[in-house]
Amino acid sequence: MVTLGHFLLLSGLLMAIGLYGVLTRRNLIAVLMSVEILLNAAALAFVSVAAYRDPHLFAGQIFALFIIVVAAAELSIGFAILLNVYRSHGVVESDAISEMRG
Amino acid sequence: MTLAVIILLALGGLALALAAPNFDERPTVLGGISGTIFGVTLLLGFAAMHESGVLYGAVQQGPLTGLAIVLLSLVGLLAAAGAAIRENGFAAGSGEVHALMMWGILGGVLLVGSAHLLMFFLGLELSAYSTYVLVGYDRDRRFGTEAAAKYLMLGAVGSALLLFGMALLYAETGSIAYAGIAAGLSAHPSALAVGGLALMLVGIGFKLAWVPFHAWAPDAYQGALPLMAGYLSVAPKTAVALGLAVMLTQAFGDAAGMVRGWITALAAVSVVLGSFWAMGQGDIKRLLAYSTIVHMGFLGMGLASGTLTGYVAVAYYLAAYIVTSLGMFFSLEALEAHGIASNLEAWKGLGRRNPMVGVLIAVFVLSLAGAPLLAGFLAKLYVFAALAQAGSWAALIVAVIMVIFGYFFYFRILTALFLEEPGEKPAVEVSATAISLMFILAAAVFVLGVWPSPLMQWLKTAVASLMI
Repeated sequence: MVTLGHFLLLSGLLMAIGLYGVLTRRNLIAVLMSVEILLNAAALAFVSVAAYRDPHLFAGQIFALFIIVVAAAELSIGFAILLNVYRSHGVVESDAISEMRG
Repeated sequence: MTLAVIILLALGGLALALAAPNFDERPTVLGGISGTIFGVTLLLGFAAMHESGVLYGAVQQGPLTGLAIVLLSLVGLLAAAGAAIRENGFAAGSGEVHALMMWGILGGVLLVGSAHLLMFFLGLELSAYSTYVLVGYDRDRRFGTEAAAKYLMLGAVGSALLLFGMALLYAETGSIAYAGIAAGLSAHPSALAVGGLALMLVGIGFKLAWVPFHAWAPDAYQGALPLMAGYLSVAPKTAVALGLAVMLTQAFGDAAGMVRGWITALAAVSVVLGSFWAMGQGDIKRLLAYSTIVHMGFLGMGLASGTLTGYVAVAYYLAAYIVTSLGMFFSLEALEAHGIASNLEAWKGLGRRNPMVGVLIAVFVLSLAGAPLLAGFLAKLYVFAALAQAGSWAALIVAVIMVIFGYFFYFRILTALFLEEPGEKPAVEVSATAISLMFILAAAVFVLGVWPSPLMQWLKTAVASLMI
């Protein structure tokens, strides 16, 4: 029997994978991909909760649709900024964008 | 009126973005249009305070939404005026700057007015995305691009954690509406709800730059143009702080006490570590970033007190911080436009090279530090009064000690301005626009500091709606 707990566990694991990717990947495009995993983990959590806890209202499904749209907007801004990074620094590695020091 | 404000800001931003290419030679026209729209929404905001009800089940109308419209429109109005400091406009186009700021303000209004988590999330993202673009707006600044990339990555992680927290709360309570969530939370929530609330607070902490979620702030401030950094230091912060106040009172139900405890801890850590890190900074924008972190810490303490006094103190703090911080960043913008970099070395003897500019900057710095007779002093005093009333003595003691400690790093700027020898450096000329804007804001800082009662009275009536 698959319960809501299993789905939440799965999205929690996806969350952990995404965070691991954000923290360890040097290539900024890979970091953005990890961010996408994070956002999709949250979307999965929303649809699964909607299916188990909230079968008559579609709040969770609608939320997940919005997350997909918002993630697309976020990544398009992200890639525009990375394009600028590539123009000015020549690479899109996280080591390259650590010139500022306090 | 709330609906009119939302439509006006959305379409106004669109019109500015579309009209932008035709006005590359005359950037002040775009600033004028933007300023006019914000002026209208500011007045509509006062009218919106007398409304009630919920728009389409998503946006609450009422005194607090009206207050948010007024404060955020004020930020927009001042930022539109501040864009005129750079007389030739921005190299990458001026219309887009105004459009992005307008959409960011719209996001802030939606965020404060939200009646459920989806609207909160959309408002938060709308206000965040415009700041990502604004930070990296000048493509030729290496630091700007670098800062925008870092800010976007960390901001995106923050939003994802916030979303996951919202999903967990939804799993616990079966609702994404504030009222439904409040009904489903008890004073001793389950592990699921605790996790959800904690992750949401992490996401919000990223936006407010609370330690340890502040890592993006110094880079974003240093890399951005000063005007953008000024906008970044007030607009999203005002919206998120008011939005968090709404959540604490309407969405978290009996669990709000627990969340307030966490906020106190984050706020105290921000105040202490932010002050220590600010000590070693040579770049003024980095120093101001740590100063923001400290200010957001004081603000968080006010939020965490959970009383009417506390929320009124937060609202006053935001109003005082808007005029002070924008004034400070306008000064930086004016100086950078005339080739004076924002570091203590370049600022040596500035007060002697141009006494007028020196004195105006000193007013803003003293208000940030919390010197008597200025707005920043009363803001902190009101927060302390709220802490004392709520019996949070530990937080109060930490706050008072750190205010005194804070004087040291603010006085480093004053020392550079007035006490150090200018050496061979030439006199400083600043445009009349910049001087008049700085003068108006410095006057506002002073007026708020000596005659706060009308504003306080007004804030009390607006914020009282939270406590029902």
